[in-house]
Amino acid sequence: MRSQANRRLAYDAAFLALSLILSYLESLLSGFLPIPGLKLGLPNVAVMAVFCLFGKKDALAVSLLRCFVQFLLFGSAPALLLSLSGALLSFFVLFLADCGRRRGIGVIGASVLSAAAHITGQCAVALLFYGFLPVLFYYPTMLALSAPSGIVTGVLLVLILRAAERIPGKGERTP
Amino acid sequence: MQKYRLKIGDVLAPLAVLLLSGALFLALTARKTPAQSVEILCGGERTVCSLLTDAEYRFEHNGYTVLVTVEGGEAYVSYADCPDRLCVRAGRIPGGTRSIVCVPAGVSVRALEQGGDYDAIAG
Repeated sequence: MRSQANRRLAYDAAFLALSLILSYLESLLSGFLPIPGLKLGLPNVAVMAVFCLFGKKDALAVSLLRCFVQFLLFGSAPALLLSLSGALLSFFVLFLADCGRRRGIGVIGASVLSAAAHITGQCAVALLFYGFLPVLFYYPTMLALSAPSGIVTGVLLVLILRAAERIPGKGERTP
Repeated sequence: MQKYRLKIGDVLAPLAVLLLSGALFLALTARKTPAQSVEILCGGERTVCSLLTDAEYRFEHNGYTVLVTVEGGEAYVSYADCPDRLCVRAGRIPGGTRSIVCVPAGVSVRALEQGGDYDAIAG
């Protein structure tokens, strides 16, 4: 029992490390993308994978820890608030969709909704806390782009979940 | 082995997001006239600048410096020392974009519609 908990903790830590690496990779890639501020949401793949494999509590822990570690390594206070708002709202939507295990919605649909919720959360904080009205003009474009980026991350998630079928002891989900 | 089959929600979710964004875009850009001035917000201070006169505006806020340039009827961020410099790559107003935001520096530049009131005119 204890070894299973330890194993799960180790997997969570591995996925946290993966999300940080993906976050860094994404910041490097954003320089090559045609639209400023556009991000694929690669770190969310790791969070969704943890949700599907180990449950919501582990996913929430990984998501929040990623925001804080990212803040400690590279961030600023406004970036932390934006990151947290996006992460929390996208997690909430992921929770509602049960990460694609509901009857009518799959992993890709959940990923798209989660990506849309992420940008919505960030824009809401930029608007409410920092009073940036111009964010309203960015929002429709970023929301539209969250659909293809959500599909990409959803496909990546399916590939990870298929590969994770071979992970021993990954089935102990939190009820 | 668990199957990851496509469900109806996987098709409807992206369509719904695209429809919503399209509706928002139309609602925000409807009945817009060409901008003749821009509004620059920095730390609660508002400056309105005409696009008819070339000028440079320097803003220092949150420990960062942002330089907004008005040139040839367009406004753009010509220099910023923020970490990602997304504002510098954000394009020009009104050429293709209606607003530029630098979140780390807390500076935003927004196109004003015809007849916007002027707080400061460069020149």
